[in-house]
Amino acid sequence: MKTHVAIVGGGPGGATAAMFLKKKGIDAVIIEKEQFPRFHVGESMTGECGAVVRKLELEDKMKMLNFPVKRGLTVYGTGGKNSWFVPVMRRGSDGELHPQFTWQVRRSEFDKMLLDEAVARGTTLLPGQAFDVLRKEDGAIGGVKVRMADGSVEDIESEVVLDCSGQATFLANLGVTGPKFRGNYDRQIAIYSQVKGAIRDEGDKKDDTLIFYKSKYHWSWFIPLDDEVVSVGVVIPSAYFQEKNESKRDFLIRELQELNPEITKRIPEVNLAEEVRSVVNYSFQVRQFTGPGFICVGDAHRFIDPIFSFGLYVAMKEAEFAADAIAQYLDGVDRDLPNPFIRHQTFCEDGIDVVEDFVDFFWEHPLAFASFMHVRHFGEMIDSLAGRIYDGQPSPAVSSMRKLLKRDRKKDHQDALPVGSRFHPERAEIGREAYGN
Amino acid sequence: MNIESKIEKFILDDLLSGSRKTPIGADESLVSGGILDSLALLRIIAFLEEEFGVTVNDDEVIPENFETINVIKTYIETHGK
Repeated sequence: MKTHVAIVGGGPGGATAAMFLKKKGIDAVIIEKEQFPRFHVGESMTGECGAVVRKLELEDKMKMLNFPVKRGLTVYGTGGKNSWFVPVMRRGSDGELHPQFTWQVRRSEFDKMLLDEAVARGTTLLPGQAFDVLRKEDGAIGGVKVRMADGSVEDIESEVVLDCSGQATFLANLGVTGPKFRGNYDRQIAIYSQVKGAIRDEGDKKDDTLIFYKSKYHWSWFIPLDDEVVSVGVVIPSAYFQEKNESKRDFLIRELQELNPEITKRIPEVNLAEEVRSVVNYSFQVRQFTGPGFICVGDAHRFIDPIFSFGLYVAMKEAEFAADAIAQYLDGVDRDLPNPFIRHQTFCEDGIDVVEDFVDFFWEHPLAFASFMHVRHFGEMIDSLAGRIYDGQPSPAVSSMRKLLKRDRKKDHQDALPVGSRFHPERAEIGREAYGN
Repeated sequence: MNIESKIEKFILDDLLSGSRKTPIGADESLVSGGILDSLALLRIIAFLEEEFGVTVNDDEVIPENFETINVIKTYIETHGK
């Protein structure tokens, strides 16, 4: 089979890329090994993630599927004290902030809606598992090899391979990209499930995201999925979890009762509506995530931390940018460069660097974070949280964060050890075999 | 009133609303000693900027600069107009 773009993975990154490509008249084949709907964590959208959904003209579908409307985020400090609320806001053409809303999405439903929509708009869906790449004579990536359900192998030849495989990091595992490094939060565990019958806030705040803080690196999330069910998760250092010596289920139930009085108040009795799952060592960064014939999108090259809900947004936004980069490439732009997608790579990396600085700043400098949020840089903090991390950066707030973190991003070349690893100097490149399929 | 007394009065009257009856030692730790939380520190910073005309730069908003009344006094003396 031949196509312009072979997309590995039919999650939000893959489906979004396919739809933006289609708008430009570029054909794609999505290779997905799982049957949708399937469970996935990461249910909250930033404001700008909602903007991508609107750009795809899916707002009516979102309403039809009754996804909860998120208007903001409230963070509760230790012991339930010092809470602060951040509204979701957009920047108008006047440069001013205006109220906006975005959504919370049960991922099984949302991801299926997106994939169905991509297919309805003309993308081919190939059920199977990509397991290797095809190379052109000059060494560039020229497609993928796919194992079909019946065991047969199909070669998909393409101009570009888009890796939207999420934390499976398809191309990084094959050694197509540069090395994969550990990130700042790789010694954290997230343990999560969904609960029924939680007590919700009233009025407009009913479906907002809540974050409860206990101590450094110890927090939990509360994300409404419908009128009945709420996604909950506890994030802690791995060492703390091991110390407790409990099953994931027991651990989660106890933590929800002990972590912060404000979450206990909302979940006086824990009625689990899903199995209890966990992700360990989730923080990583892949260098050289684009190259001749390939681009990695979202989690396929970098994941920092679930706090502030950037995961879904970064996947969808990078998918949109990747569609632009591919369209230019097919028009002949930068084709002669050793890496034809170098501008896209730098642009995306600069954006997600802002996320990393923001999250690190939150943990390392709580006083300055509070000061920036409440007094000094309210608008810019709102911008960062909404996902306006690509243009006009570093903003004065982000520059000050970097000063406080003693971090100079200008020196952060693609062949250097990433900041996320440098921050913990003992960190090393993650062995490829350890992450192999 | 000297600088130390002004700061102490602000903490006792405005931040603690008179709930503490004993004076605060000039070297007593305000933060790790649990007298003030981070939101109270933000109000101290605002007070210093207003009362003493100091400009606290973004990268100086660290607890170490406001750890004790004496530390704050030194900060004002080196950053004041």
